[in-house]
Amino acid sequence: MLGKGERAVVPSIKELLDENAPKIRFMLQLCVRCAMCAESCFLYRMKDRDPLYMPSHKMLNSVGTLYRRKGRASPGDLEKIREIVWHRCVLCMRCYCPLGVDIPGIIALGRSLCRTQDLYRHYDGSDLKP
Amino acid sequence: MIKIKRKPFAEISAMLEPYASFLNVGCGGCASVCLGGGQKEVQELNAELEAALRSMGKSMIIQGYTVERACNMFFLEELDSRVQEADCLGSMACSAGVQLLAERFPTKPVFPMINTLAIGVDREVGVYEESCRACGDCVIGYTGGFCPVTRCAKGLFNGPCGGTRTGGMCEVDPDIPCVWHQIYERLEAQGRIEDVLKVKVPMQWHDQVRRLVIQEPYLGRYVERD
Amino acid sequence: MYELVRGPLALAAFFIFLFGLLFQTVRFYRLTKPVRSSPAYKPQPRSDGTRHSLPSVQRRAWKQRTVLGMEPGMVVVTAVFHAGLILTPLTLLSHSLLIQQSWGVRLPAFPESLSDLMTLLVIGLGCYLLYRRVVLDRARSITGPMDIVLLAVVLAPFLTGFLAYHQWLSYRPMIIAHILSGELMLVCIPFTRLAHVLFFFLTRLGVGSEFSFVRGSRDWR
Repeated sequence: MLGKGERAVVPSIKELLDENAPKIRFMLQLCVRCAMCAESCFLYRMKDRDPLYMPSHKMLNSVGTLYRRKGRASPGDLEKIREIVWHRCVLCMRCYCPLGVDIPGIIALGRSLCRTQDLYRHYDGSDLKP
Repeated sequence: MIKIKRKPFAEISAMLEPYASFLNVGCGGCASVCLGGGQKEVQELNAELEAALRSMGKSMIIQGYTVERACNMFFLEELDSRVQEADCLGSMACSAGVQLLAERFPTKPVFPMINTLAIGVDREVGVYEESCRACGDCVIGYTGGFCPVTRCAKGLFNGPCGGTRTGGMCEVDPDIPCVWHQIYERLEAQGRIEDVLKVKVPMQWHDQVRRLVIQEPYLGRYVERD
Repeated sequence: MYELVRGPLALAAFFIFLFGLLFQTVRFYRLTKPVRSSPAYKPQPRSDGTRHSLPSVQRRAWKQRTVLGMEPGMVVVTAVFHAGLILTPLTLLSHSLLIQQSWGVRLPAFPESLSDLMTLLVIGLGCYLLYRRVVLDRARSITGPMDIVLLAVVLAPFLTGFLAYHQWLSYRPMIIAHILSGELMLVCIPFTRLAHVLFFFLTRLGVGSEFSFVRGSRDWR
């Protein structure tokens, strides 16, 4: 619990987005949607080459979505983002981008954004899909 | 993955006693997977600390923040702007993560909230079994996939000791199977029983110097070739 | 109209292009920081020695470890396309003469038939890129209107230039369209994702963690 005058360490989702806005804006602009990152992701290759697992798709639909909505996201939106950044990516950091977009950095930021809302991955069995 | 367990509460509160404000750093990697030091566990510990302090009439600023992986500096960068007001830091990551945190913030006292116990496997939710002691010289190819360093109480390399109980249990504890009995059974079933003869030199902890691992494809990047 | 686009508008476009690229370079440097170069690690001697992978495996490994090995077609197409994109306007005889007219500098130029071929190659490969974007699942899944628009902006100068040169349609409007579309492209480059013309080099040479071609000495902030 915070007392008077104490600064919260955990930022609001908007604060965290604002802190990282220059980098997010840069990465979203740098991505030319070439889809060449796809083959470098082992999850993409493992999941029958489903575009949902393509690194750029994951980046654009998680932090990209949140950034475009200026941090205003419904619980449903956040749950979708949580699913992307935790269940479609393991942060192995091996994704390749010809332009040098820092995809793992953006996914990691996506996870931090979710954590500010107390959304994260659970390993006690409650996360497993039926 | 690495399996950790939270330290006893009394030990934790003794460590934090002299400080006025505390930031507890959780880890989203191994610590979360074994339900020992993730975001939820950070919040639970912090709540316990607050309750204990309140009941003693004391107060302390207690905050929590969880990073994705505590063993990689890249993921600790987001803490830079958040640690300034804390007098001390706690980490619920494995001890590797605790050390990296202390390295990044050398002016802050850093305390481990957990004990690092094992490299192990998941058996049930909340139940984890040690499998490996990171001896650095793996012989399990010749012992049917059983590690005699971890699973033999005496770390024997030349077969069971004379104390194996009936039913193939270890003399140290009747609930622990004798791993050399298990090794024999499995190698026999695979027709490879001679393989045990390839395991000769017992694992002596001959290497106490801190290990550095550089993967083969990256050697050229960091090491000058002769 | 011709004098307007040939004169002040062209100059304005060049200035916006150059200052825009400068602005983007500054932005890149503000988003990154220099990092200490990696210390020279000395591996500790181990009695068992290190094991090396088989030479034949190493020789074939590049097919799985590089983008050239994984997507050779696309790598070749983009390389030729971009090379044509940059080289064609710089080596065109007409452009060389115009620059000589304006600034007195004569740049070397290719024979016009070669420039023609290069132009057709750029247009053809550009159309292939458009086709790929629409047909490939993974590319389509992240394509938006801007991607199509920008590809059109890039191809327009080549198409109009080709048509103007060969005078297949009425020359005057076509040459004005060509100059205008070229100016539009120049102005778009620094401020849209066409800026990757600059960032490709800055990140792939500068940032060590992004598979840099040399030992990049910067990292993201």
